[in-house]
Amino acid sequence: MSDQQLILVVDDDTDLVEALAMKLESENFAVAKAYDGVEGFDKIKERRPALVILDVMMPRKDGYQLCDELKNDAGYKDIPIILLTAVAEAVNSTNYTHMGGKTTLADDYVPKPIDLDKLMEIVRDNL
Amino acid sequence: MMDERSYLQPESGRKLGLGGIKFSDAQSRLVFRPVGGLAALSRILAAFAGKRINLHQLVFRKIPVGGVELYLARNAYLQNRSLIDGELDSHGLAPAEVAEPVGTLTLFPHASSMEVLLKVIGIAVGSGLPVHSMCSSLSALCIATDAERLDELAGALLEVFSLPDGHSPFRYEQSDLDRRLTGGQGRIVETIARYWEPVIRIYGSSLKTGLTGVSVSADGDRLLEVIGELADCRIARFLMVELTGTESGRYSLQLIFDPEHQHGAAAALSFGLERIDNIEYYVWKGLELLFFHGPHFQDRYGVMHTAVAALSEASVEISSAICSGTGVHLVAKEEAGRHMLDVLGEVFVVP
Repeated sequence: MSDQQLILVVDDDTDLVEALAMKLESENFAVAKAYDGVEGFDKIKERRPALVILDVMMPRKDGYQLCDELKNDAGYKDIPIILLTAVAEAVNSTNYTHMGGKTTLADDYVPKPIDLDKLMEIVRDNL
Repeated sequence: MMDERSYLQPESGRKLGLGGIKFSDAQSRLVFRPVGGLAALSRILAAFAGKRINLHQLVFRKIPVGGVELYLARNAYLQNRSLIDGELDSHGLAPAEVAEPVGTLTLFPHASSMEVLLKVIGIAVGSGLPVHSMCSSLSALCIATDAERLDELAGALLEVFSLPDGHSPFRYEQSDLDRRLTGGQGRIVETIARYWEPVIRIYGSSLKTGLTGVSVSADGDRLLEVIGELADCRIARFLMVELTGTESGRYSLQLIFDPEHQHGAAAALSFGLERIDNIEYYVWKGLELLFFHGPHFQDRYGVMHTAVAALSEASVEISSAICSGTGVHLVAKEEAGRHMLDVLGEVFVVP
């Protein structure tokens, strides 16, 4: 449907991509899917999404790198980006810290496991 | 060498599109047989959870012969083998088969399409390559074969399926973040042994009732005839599938679908299967399927042990179980699903 807003979901967890897509489609969004940062950027060039839900830890090109590229590109910097991070308050890690010690220009963050209703709130807030 | 049955061919020369294919790293495959019930399964899983070893895939079934098949990283198995064997031996358990190195090919998304599923089974079984197992997750089909045959299997599948331009590579490639966090060595895994939750967090669960299941035991050629009968029934969607190959060349297939929109499919399937010689089959009605999934289940040890231990303690009986991808499918007979949900609600939580 032409009036549906397109959300791009980028995550190497294919089951999570499917679950997010089902939730978004039930909320009347159109969904595009990509499974790493390189595919994600290709999808964005193919058809501009209204918003990107972006995992951080992915092979080939991670979410930080893709986020940086998009936010530093005049043609794409205005696309809202929601980063998914597996780091939350209940996780204790010495190898992987929130944002890897670097800042990103993402518009919002959602910890995993994702609360789908909370995610939908964030999506709508950022559109 | 691809089987030439018509249902395996691309229709009108058009290949079915997939999103991607991934290869696992080298794995070890352990088969335990016979395994009568959840108590034995719980003891098997405890041996791995206790050593904080992640299981990448697990299948448990009661028919035709109760058994458990699990896959773990080859390095993890070889490094911990004596400890695992010792733990299992203390319970009188030992794997009936150990195969390694094996690898799993994951293709996605299947979109619950029976057409995709039957083509994948037909190609894998008809290829002549060893097919140790195949099972479904929410989005993907995972096929286990010998590690050095993964490329051949992918090649056979790509005669019928296509991938998008610029698709992810089959084998893992490091990202900049990976290289930075690991010093260029291997890959960082987000959550391996990092979750210390008193109750495991999941994304959600769903319970479906009134389902139809078919279990078949057949050799490769007969299995391809079974696939043909399934194709003729024109069942549009499947809910869960698992296939196991044995050293004797026989396969055990379990497939579950929702008959709600497929009136008469069960009867038509029974009629079709009756005509095939040298197979054993059962068509079940009124099955219940509980599915739940969570973040990085493959990297988080103990998920299946937690579920199975809880169900065993509550004396809940299940017919089969799959842990694949980030999800768990549990199959039970009529009216057992709600009990499963109540029991598991004590050990898993949706935040």
